[in-house]
Amino acid sequence: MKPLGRDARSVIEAARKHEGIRDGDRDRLRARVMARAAAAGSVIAATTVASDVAAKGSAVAMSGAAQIAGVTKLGLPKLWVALAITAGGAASVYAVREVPSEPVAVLTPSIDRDVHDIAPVIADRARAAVVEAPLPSDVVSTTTAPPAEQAAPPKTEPSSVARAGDSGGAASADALGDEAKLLSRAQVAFGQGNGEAALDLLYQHGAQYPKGKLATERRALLAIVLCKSGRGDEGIRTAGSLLDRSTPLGTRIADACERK
Amino acid sequence: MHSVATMKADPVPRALPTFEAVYDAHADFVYRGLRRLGVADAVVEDAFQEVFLVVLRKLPTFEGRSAVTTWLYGIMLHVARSHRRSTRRRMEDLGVDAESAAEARDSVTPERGAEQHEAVRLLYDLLATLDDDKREVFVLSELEELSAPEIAAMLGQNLNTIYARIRAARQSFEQAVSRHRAKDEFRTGNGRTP
Repeated sequence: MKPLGRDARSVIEAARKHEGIRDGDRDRLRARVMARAAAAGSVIAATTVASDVAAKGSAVAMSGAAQIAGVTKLGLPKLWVALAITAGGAASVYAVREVPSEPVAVLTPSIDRDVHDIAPVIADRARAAVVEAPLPSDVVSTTTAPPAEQAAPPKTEPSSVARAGDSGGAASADALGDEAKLLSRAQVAFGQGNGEAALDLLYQHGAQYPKGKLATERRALLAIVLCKSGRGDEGIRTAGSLLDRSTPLGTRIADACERK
Repeated sequence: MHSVATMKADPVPRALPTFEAVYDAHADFVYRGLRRLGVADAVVEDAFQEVFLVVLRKLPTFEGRSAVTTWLYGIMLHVARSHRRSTRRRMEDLGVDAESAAEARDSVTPERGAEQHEAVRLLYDLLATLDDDKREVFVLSELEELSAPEIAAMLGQNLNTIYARIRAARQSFEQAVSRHRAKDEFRTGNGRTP
């Protein structure tokens, strides 16, 4: 069979070098796929997300979920975790070990990184979202499990923690870790000037955790990102009752939205 | 850059790849493949998402007997055909002919059109002159560098049919290149005036 002529071949070779996804679209499209998957009810395990971010090696050394996974691997029986987005714009994930009688909040920031031009959201709000999250030491792993395992139904054999009457704790800790990780990624994306990616991640959070523990933080950050992206009216509508200058959170949103 | 041809089927079933691994390794391949298969720039992101949603759903049942790229290409062919059909239907409903649709293609997303490299745009315009059957075999044969038996297996067609289609597709593509060159020369004044 006669091969393709030289002229036609040169057209193909010239194009080859320039085809593909444009820079910056790859992560945005990934976020959209994940958001649609979440909306469609697909199961994406926490391990997947943690490894995803860890593998990316982005400016942030490690995501919240990855940090939580790391702490959990040490075998701590119970953790308190929270995402704190500080006034300076640094994203921090706090892990607090529970003391048997009364929890003592010795907060240890596992990530604390300055992010320039990031919209500040107050830390005390995030701290208010601290919840007790009992984690069995064998639940979370940073290694990626095959999807078949990820999608598999929970084992019927109860774990040691479940036997102790804490069933559901691991799931709630996983969910909170995922929530924190998503918001942290949105924060970082926004800090890097990628407002669209930040919005995608925040919408993804909204789709996955409409009534999540960090829903207020999501709403605040969403309002700030919208306002800083030139969509002030939408940002103010999103903020709604949060836009109250008598609270630190409301003040920061108002500042971002330039409301007197 | 990898193509289908450079990632041959492994006879030994391998461990299942994770969704993230598939996405990271093949996002460019899928995006490029969809455009080559005639998915319009304005809807390529939708098609891209559809492909990866299928991947997400079907990955647990992927047996690893064929290369991931071959498996992906099967999904991409299906999604691309569906998008081409719906685009065609919309154009018919609007009473737009194929030529006007081609002219309007870049104007739908002007910023993307401007950013798209001229060589890429030329390739896609030339591919758009092929009918769907020729286009698919041409892309698989000349751009993905698959052999005729591999294409026949992928498309579920008789090998002789595939050979004939590749021959016809090459001829059509070369004619389209010649037409383009002639027009180009005429426009720039390098060609002979009648």
